[in-house]
Amino acid sequence: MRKLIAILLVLAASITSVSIFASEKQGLVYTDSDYQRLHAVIEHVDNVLKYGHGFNPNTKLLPDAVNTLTGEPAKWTFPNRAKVPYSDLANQQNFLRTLVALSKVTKNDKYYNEAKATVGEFMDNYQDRNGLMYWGGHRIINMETLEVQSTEGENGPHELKNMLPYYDLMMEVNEAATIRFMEQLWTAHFRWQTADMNRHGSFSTAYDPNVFGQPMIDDVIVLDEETNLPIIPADSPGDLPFVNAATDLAYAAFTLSNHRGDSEPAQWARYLMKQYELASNPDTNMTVYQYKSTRVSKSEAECLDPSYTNSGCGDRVARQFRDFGPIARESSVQWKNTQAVYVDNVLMMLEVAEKFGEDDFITRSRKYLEGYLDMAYIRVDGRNKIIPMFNDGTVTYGYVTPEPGYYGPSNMRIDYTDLPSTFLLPILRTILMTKEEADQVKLWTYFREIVHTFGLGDVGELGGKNPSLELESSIDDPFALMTMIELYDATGNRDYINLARTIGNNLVRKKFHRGFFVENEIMLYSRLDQPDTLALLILDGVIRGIKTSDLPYYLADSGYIHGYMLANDGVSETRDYSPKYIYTRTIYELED
Amino acid sequence: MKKKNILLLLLITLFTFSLFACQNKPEEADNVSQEREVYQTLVRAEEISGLTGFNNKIVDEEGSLGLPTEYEGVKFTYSSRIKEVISDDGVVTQPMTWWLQSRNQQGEVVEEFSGLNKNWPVVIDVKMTYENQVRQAKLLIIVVPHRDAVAPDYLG
Repeated sequence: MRKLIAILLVLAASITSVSIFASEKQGLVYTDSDYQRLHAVIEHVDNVLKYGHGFNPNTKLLPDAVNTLTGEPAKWTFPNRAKVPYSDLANQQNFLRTLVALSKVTKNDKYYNEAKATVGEFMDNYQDRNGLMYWGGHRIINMETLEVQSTEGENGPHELKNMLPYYDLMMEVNEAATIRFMEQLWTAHFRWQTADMNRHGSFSTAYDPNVFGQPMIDDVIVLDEETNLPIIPADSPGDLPFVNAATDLAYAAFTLSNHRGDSEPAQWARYLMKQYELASNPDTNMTVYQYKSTRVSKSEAECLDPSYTNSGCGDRVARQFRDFGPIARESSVQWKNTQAVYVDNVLMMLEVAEKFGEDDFITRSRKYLEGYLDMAYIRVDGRNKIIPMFNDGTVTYGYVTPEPGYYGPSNMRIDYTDLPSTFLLPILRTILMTKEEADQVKLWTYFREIVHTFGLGDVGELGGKNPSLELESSIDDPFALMTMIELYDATGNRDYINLARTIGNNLVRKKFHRGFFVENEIMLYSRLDQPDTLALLILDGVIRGIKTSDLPYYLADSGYIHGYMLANDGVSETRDYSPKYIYTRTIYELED
Repeated sequence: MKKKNILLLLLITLFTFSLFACQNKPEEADNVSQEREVYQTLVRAEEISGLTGFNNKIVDEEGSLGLPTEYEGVKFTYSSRIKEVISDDGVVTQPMTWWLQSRNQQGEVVEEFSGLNKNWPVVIDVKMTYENQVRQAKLLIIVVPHRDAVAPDYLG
């Protein structure tokens, strides 16, 4: 009997000592509007599959985007005027997650099987002998001929920047090919002796079976003895260790370590992420986009021209922002590439912390976000903004550039940048994964202010149990939607799921046109990597009582193609990105 | 039988406890309502006190900015990041040098770049306090240097 009483007392104690975010969810009723949202997603997915496969019935590959008036694939127009309908699986990760989520909520394997078939055909046919895949920023598959093409000259390199592939699915489909890819990603992009790293990897680099067996090296970042500030080396031989490429390398290595039970890939991933940590400013806690800059390899004559922005002339910020002195380095900039630094990288670190137990990454994420918001977050005219500055806190707002350079033309005035809604998820996930309540307070205070300023209402005091939300909000933002779902998941408060439903309804009303999800009614192309349909399916799953951990997880939507193309004048050659070239076209600019 | 009764009693107690634990008690509901009201007061104070009107203000004279110190019981305190130019009390001292000296990318003096970046951007961290709740904000104010100001040392 004493034992029984003891058990009951322990049970009672456990009820009283729950986390401030503990949730008590009760069943939700599935409504007509819930069904209508799901129906819109099904129609979109069915149309993407119908038109995507309809263009070339000999392949299970899909185009990156579908023309919503003609059903044709998006086309890349090369400088020689060849219009190539293209597929790039790296840019379709959210569609793959959408397919898997759709099978989960409908309990129909049809969509999951579609995802497996697409990935299977790609991995069987489009993996180089060395292990790299023909995907990413500079390689596409011609949907007509099914041949690989390069958008960056004849032999475009391998490039992934925050694409964070859906490895769970890839492993299910072809484990050996997935592992070979993860290994070669490091061999092709990382220099083991110097920690130089490049977003570009060569398809000519031979596969190395001993890839992670290299001897560990010392940290490349050391602190200046006088200032105690990190010294950012300027010795890189043309390689720039951008964090958006490192995010993909680290994610692959942690996933590989976990899959094989082999600690070596994770050790290298920890080393890589540590260089960004060491390069962060210890006074402000703001972190960096890169931990090295390039050494000067071009001639003095070439570098005399300020508009020649090749990294062979050295650090491009040190050149264009020389007036600020030594703090002006590419690594220190806090008004450009901040999505990669504070959103994509943080989401990866949190995912790795949750899945593979890298708890240090939670503390690090909190430190970076707190530092950035402490120093740079400002509300201007009722909007969430960022004060431009270097990572020591030196403000650059209002600075007028004397000469052109990598960061823009001459006479450019540096202004505030927006704090986009994409910041909501990394901030919230960091709070939810932080164990101590006292450590949650600061970020929650910022989170509360940012959410309120976005017009979503008040999430209330820490814990979010008693919010006062704008339940009639007109916001149609997928990141706000996922934020509300995760708040509901954490608190069990139905106001969050009700606001999520409202946002979901807005999203369908404003973005579902001609049978597809598009950025807005007049946009021509429906992009497969958009996060809207995945967010809607996570909402649907949660309403049905499916655990969020059993549904595909949002990590990024950074897919793009970059390379040479025919300019809009129809004559000259230019070099641009697909988001600017393809996804800005409207239905009033229908091509031949 | 006695053991069964005790067990039953314990289970009922536990169940009742868990039910009550799930709901806000009246005093808790009052606290929630009060907390929300305090938050709304702080938001109003930021929006209506005139504070936000100082953002991006270009100041070309010395003296007090007249930053609000109280609004509907909300207390404002300020911490300037360049105290020599704007003090924590909001008093402006126009600097005797420009913000930056601008040159070309070789570090050479070029006449047309002279005085390109004279005005000082100053960030002020604002703390609003009411009923033990704190709301933070920032102001960014542009201060024009003194009319006799000269080029500062070149940093590049």
